[in-house]
Amino acid sequence: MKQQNGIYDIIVVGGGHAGVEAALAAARLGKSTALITLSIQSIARMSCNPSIGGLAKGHLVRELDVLGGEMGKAIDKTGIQFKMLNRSKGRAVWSPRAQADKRAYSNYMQQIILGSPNLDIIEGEGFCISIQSYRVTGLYLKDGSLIRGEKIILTNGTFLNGLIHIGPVQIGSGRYGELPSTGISNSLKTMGFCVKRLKTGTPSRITRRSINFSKMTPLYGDPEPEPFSFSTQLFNPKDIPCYLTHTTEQTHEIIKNALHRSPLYSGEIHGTGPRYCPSIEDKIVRFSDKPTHQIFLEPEWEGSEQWYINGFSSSLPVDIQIKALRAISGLERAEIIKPGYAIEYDYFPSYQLHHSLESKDVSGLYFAGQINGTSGYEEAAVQGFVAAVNAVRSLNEQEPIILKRSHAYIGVLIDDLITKETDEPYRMFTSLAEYRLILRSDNADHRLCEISRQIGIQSQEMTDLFFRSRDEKHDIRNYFNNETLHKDNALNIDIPASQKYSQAIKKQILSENHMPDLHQKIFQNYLFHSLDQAFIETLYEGYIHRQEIMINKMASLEDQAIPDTLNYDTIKSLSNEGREKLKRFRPETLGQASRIRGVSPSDIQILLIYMK
Amino acid sequence: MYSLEGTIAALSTPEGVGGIAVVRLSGPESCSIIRPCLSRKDLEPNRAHFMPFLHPKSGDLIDETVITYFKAPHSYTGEDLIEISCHGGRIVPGLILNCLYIAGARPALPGEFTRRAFINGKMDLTQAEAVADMIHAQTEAGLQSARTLLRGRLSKELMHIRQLLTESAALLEVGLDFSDQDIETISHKDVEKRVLAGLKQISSLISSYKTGRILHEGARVPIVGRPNAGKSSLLNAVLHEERVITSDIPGTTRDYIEERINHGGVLIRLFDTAGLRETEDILETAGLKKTHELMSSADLLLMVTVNKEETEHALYLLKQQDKPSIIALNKTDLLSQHEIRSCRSLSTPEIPIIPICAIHESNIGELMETVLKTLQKTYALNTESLAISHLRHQNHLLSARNALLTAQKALNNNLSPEFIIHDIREAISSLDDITGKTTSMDILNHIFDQFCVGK
Repeated sequence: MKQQNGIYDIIVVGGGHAGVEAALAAARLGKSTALITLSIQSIARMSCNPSIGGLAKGHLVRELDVLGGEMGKAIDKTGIQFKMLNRSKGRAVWSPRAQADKRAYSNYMQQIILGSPNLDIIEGEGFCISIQSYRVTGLYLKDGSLIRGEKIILTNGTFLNGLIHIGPVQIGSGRYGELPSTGISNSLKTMGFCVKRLKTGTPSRITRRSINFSKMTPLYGDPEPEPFSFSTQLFNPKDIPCYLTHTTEQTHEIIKNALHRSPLYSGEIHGTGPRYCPSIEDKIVRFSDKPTHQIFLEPEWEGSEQWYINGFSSSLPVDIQIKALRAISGLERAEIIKPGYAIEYDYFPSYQLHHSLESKDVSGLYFAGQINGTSGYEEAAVQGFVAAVNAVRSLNEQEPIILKRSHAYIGVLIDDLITKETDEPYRMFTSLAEYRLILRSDNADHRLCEISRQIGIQSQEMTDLFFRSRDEKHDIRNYFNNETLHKDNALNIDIPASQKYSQAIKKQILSENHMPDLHQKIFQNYLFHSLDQAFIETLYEGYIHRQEIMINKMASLEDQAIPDTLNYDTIKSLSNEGREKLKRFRPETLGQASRIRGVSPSDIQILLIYMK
Repeated sequence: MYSLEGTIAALSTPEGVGGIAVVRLSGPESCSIIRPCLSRKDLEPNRAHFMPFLHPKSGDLIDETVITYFKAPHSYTGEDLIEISCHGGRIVPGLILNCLYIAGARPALPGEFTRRAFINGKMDLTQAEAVADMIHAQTEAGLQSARTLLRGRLSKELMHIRQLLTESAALLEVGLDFSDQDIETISHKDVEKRVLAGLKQISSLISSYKTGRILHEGARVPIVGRPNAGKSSLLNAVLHEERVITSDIPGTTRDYIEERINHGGVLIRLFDTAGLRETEDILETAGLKKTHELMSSADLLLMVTVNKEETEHALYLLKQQDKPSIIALNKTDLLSQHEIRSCRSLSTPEIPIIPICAIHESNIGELMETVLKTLQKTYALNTESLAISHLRHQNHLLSARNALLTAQKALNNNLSPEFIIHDIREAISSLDDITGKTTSMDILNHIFDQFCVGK
């Protein structure tokens, strides 16, 4: 569906998790959109672990859901085991996670994409970006054809100059068995973009029939599972178990003796891998005093013959991988379908981007997902969404949507990418969010309903629901603050003296367990979610208030814009490192500048003084 | 508001008659500004050049000078800095400064050299404050304490506390961000140990504030007592001059008078106060109110008595004050040896009684020695130890302590780690406010370096 003049509004390059959200958001906002992918079948493919969500990532999915993304709905429809992580901790760090049925998930997304108006799918490989006076004009495919478009969103994942390592063997690949993409990187390099290499890895997949489950512990999901999406009703998903086993000393011996054959240790791999997701050889070297490591076996889809070995990512030669696996309890007869491998790929350090995810130098060119140096489906998806929303807003001559660090994990993620130099793939963690107590997964709707309405993708029905719930929460909080819970109360709670509801909650006399009863007896006309939110906010009022004070303390820096025309060379008193970093990162606000490593507090003072 | 632009010049030695004066010039244009004043074109960095200093326009000789050039960033300010040592006195340095202004420099604002040094990263905030302290130090003890700060002892101590707290936060974060992985569970004990250690260090810094303040601002020692006990005479005796009007009319002193003496390296601020008595006189009543204020903010009370009855009453009054105190039994020339002895027998280690005779300046030495000893003992005025002296530091340390006390309570109540971490982060942020450092990803980095994480 090109425009009359044969020009797309938006071209999305890549059909992974970033590309899918980008294409859907753009099309849903009424723009003519082209999704360029190597093959339709590979749309929304999960290249690594068969799961969505997890610590902090679950927060991202919930936020994306409120803003109008698809990921939450997709996993609710197709997930095969759901679990709320950190349930024993405070609500701020609860994170939903689900085992995915890779096939079903990918199929679901393909159906949504194929059924989406305004959206064309073009099979092909993006090769070269066409620009004219630093403005995007279109995309050349490898076959030489030109697709004309106003905006391009690059979501190439690990495909750019992807190089797979399995022991000494190197294969140019984007994913196992799929060809890499070589043109785009060169095209960007010639435009002057800085390109760097990262490394990530994935474990081997083995056949189900070769696993002896009787030697392992089955792990199930929550008995009362919670969905990701705020729109999911009547949630009754499957609960298919995963299995837990452990490596043995023998496994470790085999790997230690073969380290010289790992490209990680022989010096073949130059990119930096993620420390939070180390390969098994890394774990054994770095934590040599640990006699055993956990290994989780996860089905790749329901009834799958192919099982994923979580915790066993490796780039050792295949013969060593088999030997080491077979030394694991229950995997004595393991048969490998696909070996584990390490993959190196090009990424573009995000200091080259605005917070809208548009390039600072080439107008109309947006970057999202792993090519920005992130890892994970969820991190990719939110970026794709934000890039598309801002590309559309730019076409409409509207201000971009920039989520702040105090708004959302999405804001933390993008701000971190742009102001901090990552030398390993960036993964979302709750500890990266300084306002974690406010950014809960359970209040994403209340936090983001205004922004969601501004974006305009979310349905009217859901938007109304978000606002209704937020208003109800305010009413209930007022009730808690003003009304007295008497000694003889309808809830039959034994209390030492009559007191305000809010006091009873803070003293934990009135606890979470009483909420269903309270809902029935007093707040039956309200959504339970509204009551739950009012309860949490009352319980943690002190801490939430203190975080709000911190937000305000930072606000003066966050809101102080740095003019794009500022010439750092004329400010003599800046430190050399500070000046060099400021010139490279070109921060848009003093708050951003203050987070750049190497920019000292005195540099910030100087800027403050200079700009007055 | 400071403007950090431009090249600044100022006289760095005291104004007035002196053998040598030093004029400092600092800023990006230092070299080009001084060039027309010198016969030589180029200055070699870090070398003293003996050469005539000329008027930049007329070329007239101003003075024979020694010029030293410190090339950026290896100078006090971190900028190109030139020191001109010239002949002292009122005239020559002024002429040289004028020449520099004509050539394009501007007069430096107070503290601007140090401010530039701070801004250029030559020192952190506590060190910059220490420079100011050194310049304003009134005693050797104050100077010594400022030197300790300048060497970065406070920053170092704060970094150590910060490290403890960062570790605590990291230990707790592991339980949140990696709870789905096989990491040994962290016991609250490990965290508590560190939080307690941090608290202890912070508390000891907080209690050093009094010491630091006395070292920098001096000890407040009001001289109090009944009217006509000879308080003003005592002050005069200490100063060896007729500083205060004395008379035998009770209530001569209405307002209080402050005098500072440097005794044994400690600055002692003596306050002559209105005598303590019931009065109808409005002016005297106002004076009395001030006396009471002075007493409550005192670091040591020096009470003057003239006989046994007053001494007993003074002891009674002083025991109710929670402050170190000394009684000066005055007018001993009018007392019998027996009476003096029986007064002295009331003396205790907490409240020593020293017989003196103010108008004859008799035994004032012993009295002042006792004052000094008591101050040194009570406030540990041992100049080797680190003491904070700025209210700013004190306030940030107090917030840090409050946050950690909350953290400790949260730990005891087994609150979920994210709350405890919030408290700890607040404490870290307060510590960073003192040195001006910012937090970054170091908690997470700490986790990666210390723990086995991997899915």
